Amino acid sequence: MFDPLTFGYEWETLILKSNMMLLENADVEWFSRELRRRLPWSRTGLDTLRRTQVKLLEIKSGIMTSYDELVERTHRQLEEVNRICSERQWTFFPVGCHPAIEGAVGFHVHIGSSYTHESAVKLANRSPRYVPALAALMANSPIWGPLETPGYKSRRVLRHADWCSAITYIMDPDFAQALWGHDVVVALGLKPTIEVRIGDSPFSEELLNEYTILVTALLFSIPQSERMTKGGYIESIENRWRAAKDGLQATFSWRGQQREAREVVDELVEKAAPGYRRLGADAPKLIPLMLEKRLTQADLQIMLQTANPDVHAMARDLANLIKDDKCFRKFLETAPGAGSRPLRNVEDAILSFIGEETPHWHIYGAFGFPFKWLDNFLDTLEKEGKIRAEKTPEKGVLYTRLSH
Amino acid sequence: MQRILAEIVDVKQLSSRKVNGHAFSEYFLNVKLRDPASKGYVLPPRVKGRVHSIIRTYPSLSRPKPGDQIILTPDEVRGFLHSLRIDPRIVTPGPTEVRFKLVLHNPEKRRYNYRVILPPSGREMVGNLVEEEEMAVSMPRTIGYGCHWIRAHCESRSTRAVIPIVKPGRVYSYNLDVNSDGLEERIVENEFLRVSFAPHLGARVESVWLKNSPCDLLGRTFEYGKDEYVEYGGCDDHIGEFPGDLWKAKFEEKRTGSSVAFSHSSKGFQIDKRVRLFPSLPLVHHAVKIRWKGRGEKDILYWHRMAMALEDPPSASVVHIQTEEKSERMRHSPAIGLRRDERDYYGLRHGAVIYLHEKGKRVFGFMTDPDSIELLQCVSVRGLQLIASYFGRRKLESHEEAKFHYVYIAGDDFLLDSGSCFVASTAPWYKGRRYMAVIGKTRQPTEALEGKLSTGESVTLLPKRFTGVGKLLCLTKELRFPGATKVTFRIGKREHSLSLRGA
Repeated sequence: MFDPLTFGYEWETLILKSNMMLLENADVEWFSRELRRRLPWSRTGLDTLRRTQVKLLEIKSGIMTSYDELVERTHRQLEEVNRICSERQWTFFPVGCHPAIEGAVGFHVHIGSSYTHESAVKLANRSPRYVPALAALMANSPIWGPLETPGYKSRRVLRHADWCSAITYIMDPDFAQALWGHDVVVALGLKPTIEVRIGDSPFSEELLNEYTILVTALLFSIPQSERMTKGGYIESIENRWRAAKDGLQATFSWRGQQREAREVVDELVEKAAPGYRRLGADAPKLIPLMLEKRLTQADLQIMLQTANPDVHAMARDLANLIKDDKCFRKFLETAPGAGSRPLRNVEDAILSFIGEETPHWHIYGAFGFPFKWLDNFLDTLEKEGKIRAEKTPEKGVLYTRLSH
Repeated sequence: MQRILAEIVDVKQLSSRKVNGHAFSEYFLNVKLRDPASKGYVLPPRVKGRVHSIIRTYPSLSRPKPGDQIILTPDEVRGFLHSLRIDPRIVTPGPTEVRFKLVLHNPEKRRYNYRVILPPSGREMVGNLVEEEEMAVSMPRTIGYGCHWIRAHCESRSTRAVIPIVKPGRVYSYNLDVNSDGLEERIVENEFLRVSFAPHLGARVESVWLKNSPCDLLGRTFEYGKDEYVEYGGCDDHIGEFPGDLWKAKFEEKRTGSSVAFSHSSKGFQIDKRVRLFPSLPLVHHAVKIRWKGRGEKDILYWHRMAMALEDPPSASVVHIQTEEKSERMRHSPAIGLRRDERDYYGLRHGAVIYLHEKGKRVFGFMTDPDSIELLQCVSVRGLQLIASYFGRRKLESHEEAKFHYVYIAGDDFLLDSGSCFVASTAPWYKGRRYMAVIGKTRQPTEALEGKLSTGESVTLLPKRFTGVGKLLCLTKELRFPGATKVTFRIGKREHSLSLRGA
């Protein structure tokens, strides 16, 4: 499926009025047509911000084969988008989540063309291990509306992108069916590719390009001999939560060992070396700076919010700041490095999520662990006297925490 | 909670500092006010185009420039609309003194002289003030019942706040911009409850304060609605699609004694709301009349949504519902992760639903005629629990009208079972006495209920008819002791007991 090695991206972005409110759908539709009129090769279209049913501008690169082509296409589209916004006095706002409005805004990379779905399914099955590192790198949605408590670097990943980027199911190729809305999916329809949906929408052009190349090169480079194990799958779900929580400051459990998220990303860059060569790409320049400081775009947003905690006003400040495309690099160059967080115990997080009569489905929905694993864990908590389970015919099992 | 879009006119850097290694600078900004930050907000008159001064902190990476657009936060807007204010706007007197703050929006940090005129004698306090000053003022023991106004002046600015001391059996009403958004709310209160209405937000009931707690039972949040940022919360009305978003429709207002009446007309409809706080009872009666003045037949579905405040932890906030089949509870649990907001629908046996803050033991009851209500919808969202009562669908001929009635009852404890629904309430202790009340309904054919307090005193709940709600059994009684107590009464063969909070 990687011969030739093609790739492309779909960059969901918000186009807003100057008061940071969403545009009318007709205006976003016009925007996408206008961009394609000005750049006929662009495949830009629309998507929807699920919560509001308002249109997102989805900037699409079309099929590409090299790094140079990627840089050129991204830059030209961005230039034109900024020009249209300036003409219409609209605000271009590519972030993982509008801090005041909520809703998932993602960045999807499509790799290859799948002619035999079996090999694509096998590749998707191997991918969950790598997803958390990609989530950590792209974290850019720390503020999900005014009501969420702070403390996550990617609310979009935590909330499974409103069902649009959920934990990847492992599928037996003999029984595999079409699935959509996972972190990594075997896409069908008009884009028969492997699609990596985990990334938050970035505002840094440089990061967008480097991430696109990293994902493409990585998937190309993953050896076919790799197999996903049960332990590896659970580890990947735990790490996904840790990435959402701490971004590049996270510590992962990696093949049973504790490793910093940044070391894992670094390892992925090394692992992707054959892909980089194939795409004619140099080694990334911005990503190493991010890894060195353990900082993401989410950290820049959090710093802005420190100065202005009102999410609506802060969103406007962020829009003013990201007009300068180099702002993220400047942030990385001037900000002090952040420390790494100790390995977070996901089981503690599950326990803390259980309150009074919390339904089983709510616990599953928050974390996405396989039922068998989750049920074993809940049984253990019950035996230890930490929770009480009550079976109800209508709502299933309800759990109440006994220890605080 | 206004936010205003503004444009920076000029910038002056004041100082720099480091927080967690990041460099921040403080700037003095002059900004020109442009529009409300969301089309749903209403700007007070003569605001647009004026220049306001604020001080803001920015990371060194993000230096503000003239021409930049910014959104003023509610606090910054408050500083503009009420550059001098008394905080809180409604002052609750303590046993011997009242405490309040005089707050001055003063980005230039200059010292100004102030003068505060205190009720009831007009005594003056003077001093000088840079930003805010907390004052504790002794109350004269002779201060009588009534709405007493504190007035303050500073330079050319003036402000006021109220100390309402409600005489039992009376209902007071007044206008005040409680939330400092530049638009005045209408407030009515008796010894048990304080209720505020926002005519500029669809004449909604914005807050219901249980005065002995004291806390607002209703919640408010600001979220992106369908296509704009909306103030979400309080209790608002919906009539299917009419007449667009009622929450921002303009209502005419008329106040008579303990009632506030609102009316609005558009798109061939006329809606009249009359809300009355009853004297000596923690009960608010709503009468809503919808008249179709256009041609032909019009289909309407009236529903009333109540946004209830949450306790900490939020799961301690529970909706109690008695359906024909059984007693149900819906505990607050907002969606996270893969789960989306779940909503449940219930039929109501008594036409009553109870919202309970389990930890604080505060109760909000909604009651209506069970035949008029079709179903109740409950949904947990972040920051709120929403309860929506759906009344029967109606087809209106030209010039025909539909009427809907319901009451709110607030208190400390409740009883809800297949036969009855009751709420018990207490008022705050003041001048050596306080009042208690019990209100409810039962399916038993009874004209009055005999009961007892834990002190041994006998009490009687007597019937009182409320239009569109039916017969409720009510009791109001003066208590001469501050301690907690219980009221016990027998319905049929069962004895029930309700707890009343101590002062």
